[in-house]
Amino acid sequence: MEYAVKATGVCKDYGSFSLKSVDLEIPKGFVTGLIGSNGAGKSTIMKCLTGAVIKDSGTVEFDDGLELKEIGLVFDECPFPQYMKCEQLDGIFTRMFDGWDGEKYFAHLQQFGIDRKKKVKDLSRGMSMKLQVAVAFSHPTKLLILDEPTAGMDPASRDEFLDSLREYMQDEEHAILISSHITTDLEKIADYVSFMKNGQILVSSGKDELEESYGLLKTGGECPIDKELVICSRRSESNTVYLINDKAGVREAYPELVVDDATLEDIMVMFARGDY
Amino acid sequence: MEIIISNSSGKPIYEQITDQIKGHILSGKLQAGDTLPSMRALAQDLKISVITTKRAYNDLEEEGFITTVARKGCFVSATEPSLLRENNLKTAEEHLQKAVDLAKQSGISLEEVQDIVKILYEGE
Repeated sequence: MEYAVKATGVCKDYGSFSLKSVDLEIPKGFVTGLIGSNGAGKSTIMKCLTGAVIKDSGTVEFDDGLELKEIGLVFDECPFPQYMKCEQLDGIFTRMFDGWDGEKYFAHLQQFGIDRKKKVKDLSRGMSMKLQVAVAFSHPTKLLILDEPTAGMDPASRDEFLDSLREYMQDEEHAILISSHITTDLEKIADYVSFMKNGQILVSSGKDELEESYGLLKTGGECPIDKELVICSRRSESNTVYLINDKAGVREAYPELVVDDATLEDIMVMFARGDY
Repeated sequence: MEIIISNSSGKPIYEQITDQIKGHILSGKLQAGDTLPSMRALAQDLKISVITTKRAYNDLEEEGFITTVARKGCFVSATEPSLLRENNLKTAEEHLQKAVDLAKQSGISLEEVQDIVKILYEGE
């Protein structure tokens, strides 16, 4: 498989928080979703990829022919000058990006319902995310790195945004790395997912494989199945929920047990809050 | 090409796609030589992963229903009717196997099952 970006053993120590030898591969032609709780390290690794944060060690390799300026970025905080009007940004980016398409930019502003006369600081959170998306879509890119791009967007806007990402992915030279707390967005858009916790990648896998393999076993009493298959568990007063591998195998071997499908959200919550 | 994906059917999505495309070929809605949408276009349209459509197309290709021509796209193969019949016979057998397993578990007799099959078949 060809990679747009490949990070190997990336470390970054902030004292109170550190990235611990993160390996992350973003395959060309696919959407990779990054999932994890607040403070898991998603934004930090994204910034390490682009050089916005200087890593302590490890390597970040770009695909031949992918240049930094060909990466479209959306970060959780809008980085544009706060006191400028949206339409004035056109003048800045014309000078910044080769191939900046002003017409496209204004078309996106209109499509997203952003008032071009408004100042950046006066946009709501959802609107300022859309503004960043409009900028990312208005210069030639091969990779989009999107940190919580759907934060603050209403469901219809999110759906429209995901459609525009699907459109972007019609070119198989393109790739996307996207993080979101709205895991259903990732369920809809991601081809691959990586779970992060405490500055580490716990699991990276094809989304379909993950959904086919992971399940939630709900039972009282002792763990009734091979412990090798159990990833983690959460106990409550009335029962215990286990996050398990190979749910099809378990269902066949123990038809009497309750084994539910696990959504990305279920998996994330179990990873974040389960006992190992 | 009409494809309807159900999220509650319990059947994997790639299988829903292969089954429905096979259905279209069997029923003659898709003819030999017809172009199928590209894997990326179908993924976009159905709002699913490219990996899923790729898996579906790979399976269809392996079973001889479609052929992929590099840089041109995917086409419906000239399939032999006997191949299609065999394929459906296999699927029918799988379904009947499930029915028989269930019948055995619940103490339903062979005669009862045969009666049901007869009624269903003739009722069509």
